[in-house]
Amino acid sequence: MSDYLLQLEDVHTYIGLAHILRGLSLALRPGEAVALLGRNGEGKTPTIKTIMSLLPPRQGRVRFRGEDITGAPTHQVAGMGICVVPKGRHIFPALTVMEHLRVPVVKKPHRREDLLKQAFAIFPELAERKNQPARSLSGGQQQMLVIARALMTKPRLLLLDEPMEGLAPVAVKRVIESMKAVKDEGITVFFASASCERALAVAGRVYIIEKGRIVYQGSSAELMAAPEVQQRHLGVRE
Amino acid sequence: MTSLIITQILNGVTIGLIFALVAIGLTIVMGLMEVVNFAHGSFYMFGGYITFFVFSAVGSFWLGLVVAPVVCAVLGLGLYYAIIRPLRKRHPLEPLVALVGVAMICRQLIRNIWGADPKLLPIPFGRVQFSVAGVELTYPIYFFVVMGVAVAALLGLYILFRKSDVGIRCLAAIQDRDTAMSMGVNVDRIGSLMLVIVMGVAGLAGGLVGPIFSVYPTMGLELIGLLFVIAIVGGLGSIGGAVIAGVTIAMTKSISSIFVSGNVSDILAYCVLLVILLIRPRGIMGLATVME
Amino acid sequence: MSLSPRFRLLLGAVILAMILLPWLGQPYLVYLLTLSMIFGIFALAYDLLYGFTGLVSFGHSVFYGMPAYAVGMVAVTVFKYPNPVVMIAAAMFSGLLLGCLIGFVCTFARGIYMALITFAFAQICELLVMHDPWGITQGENGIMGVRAAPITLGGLKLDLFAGVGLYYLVLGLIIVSYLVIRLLVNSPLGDVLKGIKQNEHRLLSLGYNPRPYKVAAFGLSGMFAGLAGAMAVFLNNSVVPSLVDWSVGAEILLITIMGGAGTLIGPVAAAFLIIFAESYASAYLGGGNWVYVMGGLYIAVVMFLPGGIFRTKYLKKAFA
Repeated sequence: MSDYLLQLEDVHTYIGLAHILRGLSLALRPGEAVALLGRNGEGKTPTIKTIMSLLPPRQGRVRFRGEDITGAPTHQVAGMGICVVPKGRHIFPALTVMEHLRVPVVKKPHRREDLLKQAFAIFPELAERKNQPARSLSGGQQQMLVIARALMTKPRLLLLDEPMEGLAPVAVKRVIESMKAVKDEGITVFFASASCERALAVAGRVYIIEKGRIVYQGSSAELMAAPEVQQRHLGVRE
Repeated sequence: MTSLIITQILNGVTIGLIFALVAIGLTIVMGLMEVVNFAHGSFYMFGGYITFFVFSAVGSFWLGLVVAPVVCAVLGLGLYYAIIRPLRKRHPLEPLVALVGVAMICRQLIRNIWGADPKLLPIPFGRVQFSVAGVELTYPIYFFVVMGVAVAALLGLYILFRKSDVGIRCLAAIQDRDTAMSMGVNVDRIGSLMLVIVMGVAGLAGGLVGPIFSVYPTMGLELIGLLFVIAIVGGLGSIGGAVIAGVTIAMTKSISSIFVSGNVSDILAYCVLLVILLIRPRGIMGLATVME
Repeated sequence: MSLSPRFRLLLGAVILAMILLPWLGQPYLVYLLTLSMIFGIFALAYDLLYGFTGLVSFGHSVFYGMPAYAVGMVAVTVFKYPNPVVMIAAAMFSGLLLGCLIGFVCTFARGIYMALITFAFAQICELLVMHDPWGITQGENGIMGVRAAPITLGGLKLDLFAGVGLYYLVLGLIIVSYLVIRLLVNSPLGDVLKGIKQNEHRLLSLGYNPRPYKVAAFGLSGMFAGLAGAMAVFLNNSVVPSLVDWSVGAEILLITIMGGAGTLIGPVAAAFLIIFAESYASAYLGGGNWVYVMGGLYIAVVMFLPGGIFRTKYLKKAFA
């Protein structure tokens, strides 16, 4: 059993003919909260999708808890303990809050009733709106819903793709709180973010991706102390 | 005249419910597996012929109505494993070609076994006399029975989709396949289960229609065009939508058949389809409001 | 996609064989080949729209059958003027016009919805033709006795619109159509069309408006399909509603996919394959049993030759 929870080894991913990830490597230890930073279009979402096997790599390996999961069907990856909060939330527009929480497959020995109770405890605003259609919720509430939805699979690794994007500051605070709560539960958190400042509020460690490759890694403290790195890789392009 | 109109309204409701039953199968498969199933009409046809076969062998139409959905469900499973599953990673039009081939073979099979002439099943029960809106009518009881069975089947499907885990996951997968899979839902397995169920329902519909229109080898082929109209106008994945669209279209056809030729009402139906496809491709009930 | 020298040689040999073939004196074979070439032109038209521009049409029978009716109307029911040049022009023009019109409507929808729009149009057209509100299409029976007057070139009477004459005409037309479409596809216009297929968003960001190009693709496809339709009328001397039936559109879709979308040659070859298979199967198998062969062929090709006959690895050697 390896030291790492998740490893991406020299991953090359293509979308059609476009070479999106070009030799991407990263590793996560259990219990960490790690951010993937980068400008839009540099490969953050494809990285998340590759881990989730929604975009299987053409080359390279994905290892979870030491096991090679490259190319495994997505629902199996979810069964092994990885779940995702997709970019743009991706609610099921026609389903109610409660129905959303019934979709995820609950692994034994957990019981759905217990997990529901936990979810409603962390997100009381969802408990109040159990039978409301998801599309009538506010942006922030929808974000809570999709986080709660992902947590129903009791993952070891929670992936979030730009969870704070497009939300009012109050909602962003809520998201940060819930991400910290998830981390405190012992769940490893890996999230993509275009905003450095917000990410550093949660993450202990960061990777920066540029043109499909990791160009920087370090602790949050190190990055905060290196504004020239931030400017070079995350600043507005000339 | 009024009694004629009322009769046609009742006919429209009956036929529309049957069409909706078959169209639902099409929309579920299209929404869930992104496969345009041109062989769907074949299962409707098989349902009719199996019912006829049981009736002519054993003498019981009702037994036929029970056997037909079961056989069609099994055949649906066969279709899944033989054609749909192996081709699921292909460009969506390739399974379509294969399914057209399947439909052709099925029609010919039926022709070889039973011949090309329509087989009429006798209508059970007699007629009933009643008055509505001050007009005296006689109407076949069987049509009311069909309405009842269809409604029961539709209710069953509704409960399946809205109340059961499998159904909710199916709806989720229709709306967002990737996200559903990320939640651990095995969309392929759900797809096969749904396929089996809807094929059984289509077979039931084919059997029910036997005493009304008789069964003939091109009954599925003739219907497939209208099925697409109903499926799209109603909205992919929507039971309520399929019912509304099916009944509306069937009623339009039956009422307008009093005044104009059949072709004109079909033209109208397709014009409606065009308008819907352009303005609101998600259909009446759309994927935004999958059911009621 | 250019053809390898070896394949060009093969193609040349085939064309030579086809030129010499009528000397064998087998009229049925000539008929079958003419029909195959007609479907070949139709398939080229379809591949232009589907294989290169990536637009799926379930209703292509409209562009085949309605121009056929235009021919019938010009020659018999409306203008009573069976001049072959006018007839062919009418067919190609109506194909172009219908293509642009339907194509324009289609640009407001995507994917399967767009395909179903074409399907709806096909159904409506067939119903209109059968209903015959203006008495010009002769309803279910269709228009009979459509014959083009032979052309006189410098004292020589050439009957290019029946029998062997038609065979050579269609042979010439399919070669020309192929070359024209090849040219189109490799031109800057073709690049835009391929861009629509591959990545429309990218195209938009590059400053292209896809709409007029989609309409153009539909129009051109309709024009060539109309040409095929006109030839079909000459072949059978009649125009019937089944020419507009959606099953014709389905068949050409099948042929294109089976042959290999986007290869141009593939769909043409597949047209020959399907027409001949159908003919021989129905000759040798009693009753309707030839359907088993055809259905089985469709299933087998899809299962075992992914991407179509001309996209399999073995045949990739044929391409440079």
